[in-house]
Amino acid sequence: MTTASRAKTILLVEDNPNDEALALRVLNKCGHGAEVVVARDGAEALEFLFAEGRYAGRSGAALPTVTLLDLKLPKLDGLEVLRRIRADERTVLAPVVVLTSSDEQRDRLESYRCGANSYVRKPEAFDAFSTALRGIAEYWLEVNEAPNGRV
Amino acid sequence: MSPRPMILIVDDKAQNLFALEKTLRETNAEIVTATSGNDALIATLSHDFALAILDVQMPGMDGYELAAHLRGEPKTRHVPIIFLTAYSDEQQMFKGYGIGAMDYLVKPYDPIVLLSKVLAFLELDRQRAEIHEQRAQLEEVVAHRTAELESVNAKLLVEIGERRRAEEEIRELNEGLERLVARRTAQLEVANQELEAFAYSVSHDLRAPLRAIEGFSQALLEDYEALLDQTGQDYLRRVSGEARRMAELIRDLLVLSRVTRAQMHQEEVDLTMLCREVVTMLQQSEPGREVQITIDDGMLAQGDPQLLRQVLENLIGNAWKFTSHTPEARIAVQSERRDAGPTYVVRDNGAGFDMQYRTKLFQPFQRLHAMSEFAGTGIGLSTVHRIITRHGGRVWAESVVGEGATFYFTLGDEQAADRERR
Repeated sequence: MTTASRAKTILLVEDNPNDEALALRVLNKCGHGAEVVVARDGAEALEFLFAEGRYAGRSGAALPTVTLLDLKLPKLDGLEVLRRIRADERTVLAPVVVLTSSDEQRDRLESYRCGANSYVRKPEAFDAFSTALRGIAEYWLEVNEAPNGRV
Repeated sequence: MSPRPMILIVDDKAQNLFALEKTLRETNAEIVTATSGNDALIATLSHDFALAILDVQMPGMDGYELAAHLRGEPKTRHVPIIFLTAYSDEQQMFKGYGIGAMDYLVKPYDPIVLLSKVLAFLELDRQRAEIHEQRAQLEEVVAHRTAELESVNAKLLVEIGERRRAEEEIRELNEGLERLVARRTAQLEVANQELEAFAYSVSHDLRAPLRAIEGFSQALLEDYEALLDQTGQDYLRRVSGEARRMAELIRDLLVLSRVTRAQMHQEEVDLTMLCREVVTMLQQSEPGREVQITIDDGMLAQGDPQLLRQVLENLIGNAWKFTSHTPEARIAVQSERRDAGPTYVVRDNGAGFDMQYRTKLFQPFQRLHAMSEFAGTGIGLSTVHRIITRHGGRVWAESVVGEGATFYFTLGDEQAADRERR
C-alpha cells in the first residue's frame, strides 16, 4: 500500500501510554481506514510533520489529515508545537485539533489564538472519551475537506 | 446682721462726754469715749469707727490736730468727723481738711440736731458698708463664677484632649483592622488559589487513571469476552463500575468544594422555572418513568441562581430517585408562608428514611440506603446544606419509611435579606 492510496493519516500527539492505547483502539475500530501515527512528545510530532529526524525522508512528506494534539507534553508543549506548525509554510494549513484534559479558559483561548482548528476537552469517563474520539474521526476524516485536497 | 456701728467721742471734760453719750444712746451705736487726742488715736487702733465726734478745744492735742492725724492714717481716713466748737466763725477752719465727710456743731448744741446729724452719718456709713459688702459679694460671685468657668474650661480642654486621643486610637485601631483584613484577605486568596490548584489536579490527575481503568476493563470485556467466564466478566464489570462511581465521587466533591468557594450573586430567582427545567432534565434522562409532578406557580426568591439550581437538582433529583420503586410516584414542590418568611417544600411518596438518622442526612458521604437499592455518592445533601447555609437559610427533613420524604428549606429571613440589599 502506498502513501498515496493510504490518503488518510491521523497524527496522535499523546504522552500518556494509557490514553494512547485507548485512543488507538477506538480510532482503529471506528472503520475510517486511517493510519494512526503516534508521537509521544512535541519534538517527535514536529519531526514527523517536517519529515526530519527519525522520519527523515518519509515518503511523500504529506500532511496528516488531522493532528490530535495534547497540550501537556514533555520537551515541547502543545502550544509551542502549534506555533511552529503555523509558523512554517509547509504546515501552516494542517488541521489541528487540540485534545486535552485542561478545561482552563486561558488554554482554550491561547489554543485558538495559536491557530487551532478545534478544541476538545478529553471527557473523564471512558464512554464519553470514546464517543468524542469517534466524533472527531468521523468529522475530520469523512465530513471535512482537507486544505490540500487529495494527494 | 451687721455688727453695731461704733462712735468715737472725744472731750477733755467728763461731764461733756457723759451728756454726749446720753444723747447718743438714742442710736443703736456703741460708744467709745476718749478724754484726749492720744487716747482717741489709741482707740482707733483696736476699733473701726463709723463716726468721730471731736471737741475742738482740748489741752494738748486739740480737735483739729486730732482730725489731721485721723485723716493721715489709712484706717481712719474716711471716718466722718463732727466737730463741737464754741465759735460759729471757726467753721472756716476745717474746710482745709478736704477729705471725707465733715460737720460741726456750735456749743451749746441742740441734742436733737446732733442726733439727726449723727443718724445721718450712721446711715451714710451703713449704706457705705452695705455697698462695700455687696461689692465684696459681687466680687466673690464673679471670682467664683470665673473660677467655675476656668475649671469648666480646663475640664473641656481635658475632654477635648481625651476625645482627640480616643479618635486617634479609633483611627489607629481601624487602620490596624484594615491592615489585618487586607492581610487575611491576601492569605485567604492564597489559600483559595491553593485550593483551586488542588481541585484542578484532583479533577485531572485523579480522573485520568479512572478513564484508563474503565477503558481497559471495557476493552477486556469486548475483546476477550470468550476467554472470561461469567464470574470473570462480573469481576470486570465491578471494576469498571467502581471506577465510574469513583469518578462520580470526585466530580461531586469538586462540586461541593466549588459551592463553598464560589462567589455569590444575589438576584431574584424564579424557582418555579428552575424546578420545571430540572424536572424536564430528569424526564429526558428516564423517559420511561411516569411520575406525577406538581410545582407551585410564582415561586420567586432572592439568591444565587446557579447555586439554587443545584439545590433543586439535588432535592428533586433525590425525590425522583427514591420514588423509582414506587408505583404512582408523586413529587410536589410548594412554597409555604411562615413567620420567618417563605419555606420551600419538596415532597415525595418514595422510600423515605428513618428519622433517627436525620442528623446524618446532611453530612458528606452519609448514605441511608444500600447502593444496590439506590445509587449515589452521599454528597448531594451536604452540597444542599452548604448552599442553603451560605444563603443564611435552614434546611431540614421529615420522613416516614416507605411513605416518602419531605425536605424544607428557607433562604434566610426576608428582613435580613432586605437589610442586606439596602
